[in-house]
Amino acid sequence: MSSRRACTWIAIAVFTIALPGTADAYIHLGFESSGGTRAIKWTAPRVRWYASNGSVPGVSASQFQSELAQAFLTWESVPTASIAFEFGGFTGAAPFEDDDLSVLGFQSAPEMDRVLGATSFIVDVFSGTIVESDIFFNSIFPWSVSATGDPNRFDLRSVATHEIGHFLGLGHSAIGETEMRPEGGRRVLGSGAVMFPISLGRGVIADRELQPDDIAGVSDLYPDGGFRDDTGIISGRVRVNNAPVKGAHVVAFNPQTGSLVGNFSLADSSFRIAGLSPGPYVIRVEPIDDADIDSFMDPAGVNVNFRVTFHPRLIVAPRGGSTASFDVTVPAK
Amino acid sequence: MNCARFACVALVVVVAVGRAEAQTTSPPTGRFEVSVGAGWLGGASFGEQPADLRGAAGNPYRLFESETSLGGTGLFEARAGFAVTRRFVVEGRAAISKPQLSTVVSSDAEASGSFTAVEDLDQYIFDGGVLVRLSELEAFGLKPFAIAGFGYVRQLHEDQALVETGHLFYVGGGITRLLFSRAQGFIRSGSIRGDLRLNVLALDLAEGSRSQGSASASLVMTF
Repeated sequence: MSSRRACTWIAIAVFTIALPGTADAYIHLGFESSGGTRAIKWTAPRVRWYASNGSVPGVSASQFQSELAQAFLTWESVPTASIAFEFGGFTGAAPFEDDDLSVLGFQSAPEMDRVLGATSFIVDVFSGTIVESDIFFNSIFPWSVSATGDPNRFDLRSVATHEIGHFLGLGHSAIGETEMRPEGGRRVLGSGAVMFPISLGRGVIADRELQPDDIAGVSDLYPDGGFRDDTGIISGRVRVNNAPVKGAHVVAFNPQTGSLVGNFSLADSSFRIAGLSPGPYVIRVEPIDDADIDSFMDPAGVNVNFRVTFHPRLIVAPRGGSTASFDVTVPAK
Repeated sequence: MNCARFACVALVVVVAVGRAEAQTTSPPTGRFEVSVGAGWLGGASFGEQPADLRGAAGNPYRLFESETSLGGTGLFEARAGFAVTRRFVVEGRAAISKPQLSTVVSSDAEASGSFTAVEDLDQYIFDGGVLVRLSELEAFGLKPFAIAGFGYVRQLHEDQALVETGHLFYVGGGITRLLFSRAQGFIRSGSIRGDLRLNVLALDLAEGSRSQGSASASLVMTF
């Protein structure tokens, strides 16, 4: 353990192929500290990362590094966020070692037979600063770096883009729809965020490109100069029978652009959706039912016994600042 | 040659107009006029917008559909003009209305039926243009006119959360009917005026433009 870390906290976020996961429009990874939940983030303006020098069938070490660089660039290119990355070089170190290096590499984890990749963190719990973050890609699966995708393999860059979202401190997004497979697990019908916890499947390269929910999440965590002034926040509470609802998935839909950005209600029933372009929004509230609750948050106290609800008023995101809090009342099932 | 032909055409037009005006009450020139009135501002469609997710097969997965529109509403207006000539009046107008913006959501993947979310707006329009008196078409004491111009739109969203601005162009026409006139006095004449307009609005936060009709009636005083 490094001397600069008085205390560390380690977490792992995984990206699955069929397990139900938690997805919220965007949510920030964090930890409980005195005074509430603290989001974790990098504080250095430029984050250095290293690539393991191993390879797997279909992906050489140099191809691996190239795909990761493109995935990092996708996040770095968000115009409303200010975070940059630097390739430190190849390394013989493996992911998930406490070595002060943020390493991304393949590893074989046959016991995690539904996990494509995972991200770990070492965090200074006093400041919330990410000190180190590693990503592993499960080499038991077939991987592809094909520009158009390989129908029999998982697209490395798409999965890397998802994991790098975690690397930045983003949690899972719940904007997506799934259905249960007869043989178990879930099949994704539609995904509204790269940070949705379940992969779109083999051969799909769509998640190389960020969606509005991803952009709002990273911009809220690493805001660029004018982001706070140019975008607005919608905040409110979710209630059922005048009681607070924890874990309701609240989505703001822009009827002019079609964008979807969301978040969850907390234990006190409050929610906050940031990074919204100014204008009116439709508010849709649903229970977490398209992935395991623990993919998103601690399941304790989460209420899923209510019906999908649309708020009867259009809520206007201001240009800078937040709306006054309002209540969305959902009917119990 | 061209100049001579233009002069002849102009002379014919002037003579024709002069004859028409000579047969009716000559509109005043070089005078100010003000009017106040009320009317109806028609609705405008903002179009349909689906909430699409990325589908695994490449085609989008539709979470729900939406259609947004601005409802029709009453309006109040005040206008000031100056008769530059007997045919042309330059005028400016301020109008206030309170339309309702509504979005209808349907075909939700997890909920049956349709839902409507609404918001009340305060809308202010400041525009100006030219009124052309078509005195030669006067009949039964009704004097038709044509109007065209452009202006500025300001929409104040609910709870004053956001101010949205834009611009508009309009064309239209209407009729006036003289109520009284006198040769002396501060108020030289009074009349009623009816307008029909087609407004084409373009708001800064909304893509594209949309058309909106309006009808109004007002009381006009000429000084």
